[in-house]
Amino acid sequence: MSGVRTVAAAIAITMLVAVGCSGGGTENAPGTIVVMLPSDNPGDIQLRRAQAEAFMKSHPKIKVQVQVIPSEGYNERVFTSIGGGNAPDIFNSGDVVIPSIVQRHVALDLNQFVKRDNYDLGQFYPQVIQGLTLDNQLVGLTDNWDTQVMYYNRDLFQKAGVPEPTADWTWDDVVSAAQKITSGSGGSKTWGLLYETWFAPLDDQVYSFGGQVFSDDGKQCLLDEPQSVAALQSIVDVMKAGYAPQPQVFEQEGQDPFSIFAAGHAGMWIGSGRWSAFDLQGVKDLDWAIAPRPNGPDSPRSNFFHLAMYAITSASNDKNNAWEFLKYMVSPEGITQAFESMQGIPSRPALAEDPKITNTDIVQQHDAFQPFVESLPTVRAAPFLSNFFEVDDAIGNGLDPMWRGEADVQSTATKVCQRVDELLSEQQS
Amino acid sequence: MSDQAPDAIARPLGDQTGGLPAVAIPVPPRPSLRERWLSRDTLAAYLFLAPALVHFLVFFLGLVVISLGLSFMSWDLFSPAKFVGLANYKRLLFEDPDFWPTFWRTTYYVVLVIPTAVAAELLLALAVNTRLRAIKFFRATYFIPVVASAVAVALVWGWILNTQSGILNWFLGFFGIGSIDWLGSPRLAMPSVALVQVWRGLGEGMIIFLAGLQAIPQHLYEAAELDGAGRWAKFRSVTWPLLAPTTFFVTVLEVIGSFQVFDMIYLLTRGGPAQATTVYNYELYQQAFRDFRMGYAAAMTWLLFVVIGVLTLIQFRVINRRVQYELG
Repeated sequence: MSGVRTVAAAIAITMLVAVGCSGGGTENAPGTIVVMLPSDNPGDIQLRRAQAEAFMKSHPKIKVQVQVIPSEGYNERVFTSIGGGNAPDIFNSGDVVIPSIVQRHVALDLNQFVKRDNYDLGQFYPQVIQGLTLDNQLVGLTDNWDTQVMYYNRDLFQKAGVPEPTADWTWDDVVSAAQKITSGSGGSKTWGLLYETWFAPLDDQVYSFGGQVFSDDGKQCLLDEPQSVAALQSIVDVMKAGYAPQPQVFEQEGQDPFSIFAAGHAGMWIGSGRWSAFDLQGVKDLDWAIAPRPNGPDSPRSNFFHLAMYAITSASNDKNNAWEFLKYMVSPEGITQAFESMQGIPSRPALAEDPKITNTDIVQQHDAFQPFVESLPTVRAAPFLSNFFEVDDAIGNGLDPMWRGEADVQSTATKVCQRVDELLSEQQS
Repeated sequence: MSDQAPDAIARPLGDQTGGLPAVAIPVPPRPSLRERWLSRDTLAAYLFLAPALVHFLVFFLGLVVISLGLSFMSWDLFSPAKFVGLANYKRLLFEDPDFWPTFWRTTYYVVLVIPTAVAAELLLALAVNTRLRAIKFFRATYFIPVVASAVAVALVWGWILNTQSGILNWFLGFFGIGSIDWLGSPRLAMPSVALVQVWRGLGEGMIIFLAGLQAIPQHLYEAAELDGAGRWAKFRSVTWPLLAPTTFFVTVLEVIGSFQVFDMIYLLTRGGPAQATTVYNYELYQQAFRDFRMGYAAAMTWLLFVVIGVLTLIQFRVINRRVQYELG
């Protein structure tokens, strides 16, 4: 009998281990829509949960589950969960990821539902729908949009006797104001301008100087063309003149652009969208406002169009119900529910001027509305590159010595383009 | 002996000490194949082994084999994998402009870490190899970083190395040294990460060295003292040569571990600034999970495996020959 017991014990242990190894992952229960979103925006998480609650009340047969994923490595996690067969039904994603989504057939083309339901896309800003469409495929929908603008410190403008920026300001006006505002040195230095050198503000500068970062077909890097070089040079010059900090300054803890601007140590700040207004409104003793980005010397301004969207995964088990919830998220009702935590401008023009948006402090006291709407005609969607992050890294790392003053603009741009051209050719192969 | 039963073996027990006669130990009849493989005991033994075996086959050997196969494929997680032969390896070695800089950057990191780590671990082991009453407390304290979570370690070191409010810069300030951008400067970021990694591994090396030190017979030190050897002479002539196998073992482990560094880089610098700390495994991670080149990343894994294998072999061939394993 003891032998039988031993064998039984061994079987039991094996079973236990086998169960333990199953990982506890569950398939989505039928009728349950899983919505995946990153953890870095608590307001958005709260909102999606509230939307799910409201939706489930009106659709008792559908269950919506909000799944929060750490924002560090969010895209990687979403893609691997989809690739690994554990896909959510709906996932949050960003504009620059759209080409990757389309190339890998990760999301459904929403046009099939739009056609079937006669869904009126005309209720959205046309730029939003264009920005979310690639190869005639509508990749996702969103309840809001955002774009690059210029923040400025009213007190410092007044102190320097410079008139506040307007929509027709050019880059030369910015440089001239920066020169007048810059004062002091060391830790107490007041910078005339903070110019962030990540992709969006860089892309805007290049286009407003009449240049292009990539050719229209996305096959060639044009950062080494004369107008693009002039755009890069314009930023380097402001840094060299000491009106704007080099990246080394930002790398120091507590010296990020937001902190410097919030501490009242910068006259202007280029490199952010409407999201920073929400953080700035809590800062005491800072009189700040928003203006559109400056125009280039011979070309109108350019504004990087920030779109965070929700898409339906191709592998969703419950596509129709996922579409129902997605429609709710971007419906007038859903968007109204989102007003409190919404950082951008509503994606439906009919709701954009709702008093809940325009009567807020950030709009009334800091102009966080008009400059965005005024920028709408010149917004530029993110470049459609399936290996955007790799290309972006190559540009960022390649230009770094130039910002640090260790290499000249033309040779740096030429070198960067050589590498970027290789990467661009890879995405098509 | 010849008159013994064929299935019994005569074994002389203690015949050298004299007296005891040879005793025949009966050998049980050889069990049949069926009995050997299917007896309850055998079956139970295999079933007890099964969890570990399944785990090994599925989660280790299976994955190793899959990753080798994957290194000859082009696969982005979503489209079906495509066989590309040696293309991934060719691209790695001859076409990818990031590969060699990343490799040499990793080598630089290894060169920074190995001598510092081995020396620091040995010194620490020597320091805690005493009979002080509270020595176990100190040994345990030095071992804490080894068991501490990498995230916690990175967080603490992030604060220590903070340019504005870090305790290191605050301390250096007393000597008139201005704020140093430890993790933000492309020149200093790698040595800073190496420092953190050395600190983190101190306890592990210390324990191994301590075991080595305690295995050295005490009488050798006494003999050396009789010959008039001082502390340094005892270390040079007794400790160091007899510790050689341990030093060799620790060095081999450090080389393997250093080439595989990832977590501290990911947590402290994310490969930056300006790729200054983009080491091999960080690049591999980006290739796999940012750019979804799974086949290429698998090829990178195998190449690293070969590099570490060759280096370990060289260490065994070159250094190990000089290591004295036994007294004599």
